[in-house]
Amino acid sequence: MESKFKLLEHGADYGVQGTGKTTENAFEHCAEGMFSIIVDLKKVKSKEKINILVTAKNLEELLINWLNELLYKSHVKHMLFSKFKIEKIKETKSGFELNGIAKGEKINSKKHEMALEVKGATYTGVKVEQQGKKWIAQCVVDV
Amino acid sequence: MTEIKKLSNFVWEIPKEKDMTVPARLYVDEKMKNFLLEEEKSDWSTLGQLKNLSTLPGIEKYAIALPDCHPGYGAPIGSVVANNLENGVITFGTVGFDINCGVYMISTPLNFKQYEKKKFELANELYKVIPAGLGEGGKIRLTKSDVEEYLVKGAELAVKEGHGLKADLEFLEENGRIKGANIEAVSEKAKERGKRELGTLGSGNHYFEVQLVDQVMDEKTAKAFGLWKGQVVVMLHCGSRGLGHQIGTEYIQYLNQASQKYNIPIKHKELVCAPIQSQEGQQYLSAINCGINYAFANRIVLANLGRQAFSKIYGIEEKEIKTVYNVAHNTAKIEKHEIDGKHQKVLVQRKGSTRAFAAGSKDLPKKYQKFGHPVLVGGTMGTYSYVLVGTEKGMQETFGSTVHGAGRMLSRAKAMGQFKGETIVEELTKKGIIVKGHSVKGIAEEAPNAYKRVEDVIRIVEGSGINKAVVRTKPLIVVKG
Repeated sequence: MESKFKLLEHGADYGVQGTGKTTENAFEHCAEGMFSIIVDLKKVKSKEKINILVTAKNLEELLINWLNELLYKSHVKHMLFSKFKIEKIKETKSGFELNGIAKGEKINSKKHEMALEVKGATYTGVKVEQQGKKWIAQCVVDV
Repeated sequence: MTEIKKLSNFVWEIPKEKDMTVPARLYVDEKMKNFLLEEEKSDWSTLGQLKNLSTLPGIEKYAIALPDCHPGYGAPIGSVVANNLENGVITFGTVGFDINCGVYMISTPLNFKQYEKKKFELANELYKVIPAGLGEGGKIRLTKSDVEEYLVKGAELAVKEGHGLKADLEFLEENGRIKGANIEAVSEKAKERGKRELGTLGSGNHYFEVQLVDQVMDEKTAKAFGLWKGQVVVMLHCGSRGLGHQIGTEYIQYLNQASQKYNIPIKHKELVCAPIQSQEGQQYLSAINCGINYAFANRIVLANLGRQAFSKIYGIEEKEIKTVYNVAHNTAKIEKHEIDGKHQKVLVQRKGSTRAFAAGSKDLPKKYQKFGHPVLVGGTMGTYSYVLVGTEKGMQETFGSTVHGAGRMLSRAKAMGQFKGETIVEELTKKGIIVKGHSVKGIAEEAPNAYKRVEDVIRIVEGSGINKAVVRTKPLIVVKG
């Protein structure tokens, strides 16, 4: 099976690329990729569900806002996420709206071996596009 | 391929091309120049970013890349620009997410022999008291109004709250409190993130290191800085944590709108900017200042935890453990510099670079007036670090700025593929270095060989005359996130 996300080379940081059948899938997998830098995803159980709502003028901005909102929620709720679900990215008058869910659990430093903190998702290398039958969503994250 | 002209063995120039408003200058040697030209073939390159940066309006003289430069987002890490206040801009890329990431150095009265006697106790104590690693909050819990007070008062408030000594403040850049920090410029979300992270190290390249002064190159200056051969010291590296990251995240979008409003052509989405004098520019500057103050407070709290650990293990009086200096990276500050024979105020934006003011400059502790302030250059895990001092030549050529570290050469992805955290710890242990890391993966990514040789970086800043080396230190204990 083709992997859902991959990490790309960047001088000091990481590029994260999510792939999926739809834009929504690609966004979900990009989020998985970003959290894979932070923690071993297999060790994070889906105990709690957090709702995420973000809007943006275009899809690239929507991706960055989605990832940064996940980082914010992870931080203030003191949680790690490993599963992501986006029902639908809706087009609105002013752009796009994303309603999504992040599943995970509270940080437990004994259980979760954490590697790196992601400071933010950046516009460097940002791309949301259809390539053949699949969608890709990618950007560089600052670590 | 970019045309690079040689000005001297250590200084090169990219002449103005296409839409560059000024030329760009590189402080590198031939080998690094060739490395950068090779790197230009990849998607994200230092030279490409430097040229983009040089297209911004209002840059004085030239955009500068220092020998630790490597690709960042928007602007290269290890770069400096000084923008004039009339028609210059303030841009996101030159400050980034980790506002006022920086290095704090303290000196102890201990020599190596004294240190050796209780080194394992010290390492364990430091590992216990320094909150490091992701998700590890410190002991300090702040309310929203506490956070707001820290945004305005920085390290000054930390000292008032008992997280440092009054005597420390004189030895912090800006005395640990930069003016012009308006809390209205910082969102509720950012303040929320600041509630539980004061006095925490974080992860990645942030560290707390016990070191030994193993070489003194400039006796007189070292003495003024309170440093001597064989002395045990500490360098710690961290920044404004989640609060700063949140400010960055929000201001990219804010500045994006501003760039459109003021019709400033943008080469890259992270180079979004606003005229310094505009309401948007002033608001961003104010938010940066808030982040700077939070980081100043964060570092002094950590330094003080280190001081207390030394005091507890070795029975030294706290006041005998002194602040040598505290430098800030990732800042935008209004400073007075001489340009074409005239002294004028400019906004100096240092991305992954350090202020390096020479003797006689303003904002120096009295004790350092005749020397310049200590410039703290962190090496990498297991390699040397340096204390340098600024020179008049540096004031003239680089707006009193220099390198902040060794600078990455290998991407994290490559480092992960080539190095194993366990092997690195083993090798460092053989060298007598105690490594206390919270993440094996993190250690592999920060492998010493993933960085340029810090010696090469120092040779260039000395060779070009922008700094003078004062002492070299080697690591004894490394605490990492």
